[in-house]
Amino acid sequence: MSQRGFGAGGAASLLGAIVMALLPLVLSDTSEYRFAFVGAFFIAALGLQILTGYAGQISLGHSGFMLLGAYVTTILSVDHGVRDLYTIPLAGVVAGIAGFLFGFPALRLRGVYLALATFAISIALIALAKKYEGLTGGGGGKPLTRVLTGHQAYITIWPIAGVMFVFAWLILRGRLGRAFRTIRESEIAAVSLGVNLALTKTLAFGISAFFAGIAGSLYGITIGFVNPDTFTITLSILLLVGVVVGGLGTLVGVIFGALFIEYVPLYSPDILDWVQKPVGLDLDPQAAGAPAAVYGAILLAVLYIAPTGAAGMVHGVVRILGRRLYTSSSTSPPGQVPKRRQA
Amino acid sequence: MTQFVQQVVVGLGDGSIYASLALALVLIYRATHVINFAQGEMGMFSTYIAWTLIENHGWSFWPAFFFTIFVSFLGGAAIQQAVVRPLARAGELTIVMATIALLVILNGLASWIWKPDEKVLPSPFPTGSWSVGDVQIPQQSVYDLLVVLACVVLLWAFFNFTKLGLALRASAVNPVASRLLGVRVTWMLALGWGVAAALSAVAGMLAAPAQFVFSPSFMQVVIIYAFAAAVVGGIESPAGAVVAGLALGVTINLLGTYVDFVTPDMRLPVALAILLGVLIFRPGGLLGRAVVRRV
Amino acid sequence: MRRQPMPLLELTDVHARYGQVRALHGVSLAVDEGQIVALLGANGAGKTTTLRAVSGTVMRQGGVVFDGTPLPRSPETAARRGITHVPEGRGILSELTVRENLLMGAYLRRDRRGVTADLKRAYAELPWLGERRNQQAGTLSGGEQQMLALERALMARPRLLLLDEPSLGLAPLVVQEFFRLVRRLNEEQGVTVLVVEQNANLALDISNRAYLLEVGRVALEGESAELREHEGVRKSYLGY
Repeated sequence: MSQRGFGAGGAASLLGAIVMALLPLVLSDTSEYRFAFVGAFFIAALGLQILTGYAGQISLGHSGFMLLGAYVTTILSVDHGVRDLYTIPLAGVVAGIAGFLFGFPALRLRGVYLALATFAISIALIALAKKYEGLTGGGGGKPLTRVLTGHQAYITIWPIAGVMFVFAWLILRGRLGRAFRTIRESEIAAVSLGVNLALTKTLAFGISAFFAGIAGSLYGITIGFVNPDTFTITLSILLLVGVVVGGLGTLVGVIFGALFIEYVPLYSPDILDWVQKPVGLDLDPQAAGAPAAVYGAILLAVLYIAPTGAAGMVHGVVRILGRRLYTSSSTSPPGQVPKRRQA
Repeated sequence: MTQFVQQVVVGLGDGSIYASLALALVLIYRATHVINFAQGEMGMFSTYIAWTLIENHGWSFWPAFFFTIFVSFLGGAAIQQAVVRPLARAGELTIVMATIALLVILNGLASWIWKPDEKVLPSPFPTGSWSVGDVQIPQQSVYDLLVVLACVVLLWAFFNFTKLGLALRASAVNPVASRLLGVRVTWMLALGWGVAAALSAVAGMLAAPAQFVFSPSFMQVVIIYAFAAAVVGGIESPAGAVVAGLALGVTINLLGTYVDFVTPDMRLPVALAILLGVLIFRPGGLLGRAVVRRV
Repeated sequence: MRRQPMPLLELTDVHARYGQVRALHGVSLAVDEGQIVALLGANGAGKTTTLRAVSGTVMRQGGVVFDGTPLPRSPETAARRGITHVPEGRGILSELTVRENLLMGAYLRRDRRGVTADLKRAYAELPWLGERRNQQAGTLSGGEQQMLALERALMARPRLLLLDEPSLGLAPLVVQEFFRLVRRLNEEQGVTVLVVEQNANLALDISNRAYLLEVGRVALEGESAELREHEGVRKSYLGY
């Protein structure tokens, strides 16, 4: 987020909040249901953005923490009669603690090694969920106490998403956020600046896992059913895709990522239709594998066109437009001090 | 004891497939500094090409095998030029994303073109076992091991005794200095990806008969093991990848045979747990460079 | 030295930039065949950038003409035309052995006999190089790496040698030995050298001509002997 505090990001977020509040008035129940999922992905991706985009730690285990959150909610609400909504913070805390604990062994690992370790969490948690059937309902899964309508899901998830967004923003603009960014740039430099590497890294894992836990809990509540295979490595990768597509290191971009994750796979057959008509092809968009191939192609296209993510692209456009409005330019010949407007 | 020897041999057979794919991952990591998540799917796609040649065009196994390797080599180089090279400036995470996109595309394409039903790739090796005293040695495992070892030896000779191999290694170590010496580094990268694709093709064409039937996702478990082996061997060490791959194959097989807790479902998590254990003690991998960080 | 009609290397109004940051603002210089030319200047003056402009490792505009034909902006092509650039930090292939580094120096050559002969010559010139031929280059000391870089450059039988801050980080005795070798190669084999040196004393000692760069432009040029006496140079760069 910009150091100028509120700035453009804040304005965009405010606008986004207003839009999200008004959306239920125009959307059908099914659409609201889908948008609810966007909200859950949004929260999970926020957590991943903090860990990977800001603190620079790559994680393929995010789905594992979502799984934890989902099962905490399920077990507490189904087996112990706790109202499902009340379990949400607890789901987050449990996942957060697990993430924090994972941070310790992860301290020694970096880059690909860390990726492998986080990968292992995801796999291990799924296997454990399948193994301890008594608790979790095993591979068959476990239904929750109730099933929500689209509208109910929407108004449950999005306010929470808003709160989590503000929470993320507050963390990142403070000392911890600065510590995260320093670690991302250079761990050695961070230590020499007095950053407690161990504590900061474990906190990064813990906080991002907290977000994932809440997202997982909400996910479970919305579907009304939890199943270990919902939270596979594919989901972790999907979240990472969302973060990169939205733009690494920007909170506001995460919404683009969440929308991408939910809607592009859904509309892949339609996109294929739309692309092949003018070209005169006659491929069956419903054939097995076709939507996936199209989804992958779109992802690749997005990576080419906007390597800094959607937020980066928007930022670039805004900057170009902004230049027309101000007289001083950001690129000046060396040796000349540009006249800067106090922003 | 006889059971033990047999399981070790089976483990070596499986492990050689992991080693082949792990070697491909290491090659690409050394050259491009990313993990190519699509490596397994590239091998899968190659396997389907081989299958088409055998089933639909009546080729016999070995001509199909070598032709597929050749085509895969070209495919790998093409992917590097078309997909990876344009994104070189965008940072490693973006390139990793691109390989993930490639994974999804290849998997989808394979389902689309060949349908997701199970197919069989006929094995070129006899499926029986040799009897050595009391011990039954499965022939397919031994042959798999021999094929992969042959590839490894060929590759080793290429890298250490040819000018091109030397140039490839130089490009991986210091691309800027290599360009100043006249090496066309982007061609070297394409070459590296081509060789890696060829190795994945070998892995796929050996794994398909080993798994009896194959379908578009058949390499996904293999690549997880290969990834683990590559990392634990030391992500930049080809020797480490091969050793770790073989060791992994043997260890998992023995654990699966002798330890009740390790049911087929638990194999993967247990394997990863062991590997994590190794990484805790040697964060740079078994044969990786010692990570010295003066802080 | 009798001036030859056409310089081996000629830069005309060359501009160069790193991204949005401009580093050279119209540098013009000429290097005649068989000469040793030095580029002097303070940190950030653009000396390294000038070498990079020649070898094509930086974005540049302007005329770069080598041996009468324009040089495209491509390191591989520069190498192919006979320009060998020893970059700042030496560019040693640290995981390869000493011998492999030397062989990579000869990468563009097709004459295997010649390469083998040159390898022998290098080992003869620096016996320790031969003794350590199978040692990993990264384990050599700084001075040894600099020597290796020079020998590797020579394996290419270059027409023009670009040396970037060869004395950086090296003990004075090692530096002396290095430049002695450079001078011998220039005199005996006629290798043309363009050397960037922050150590002005050293640079003016070894070169025939020198260019003084300041903030990306040529501030002064001339025969090294003359520049030595130039008051401005003496005060700012030679310390007296």
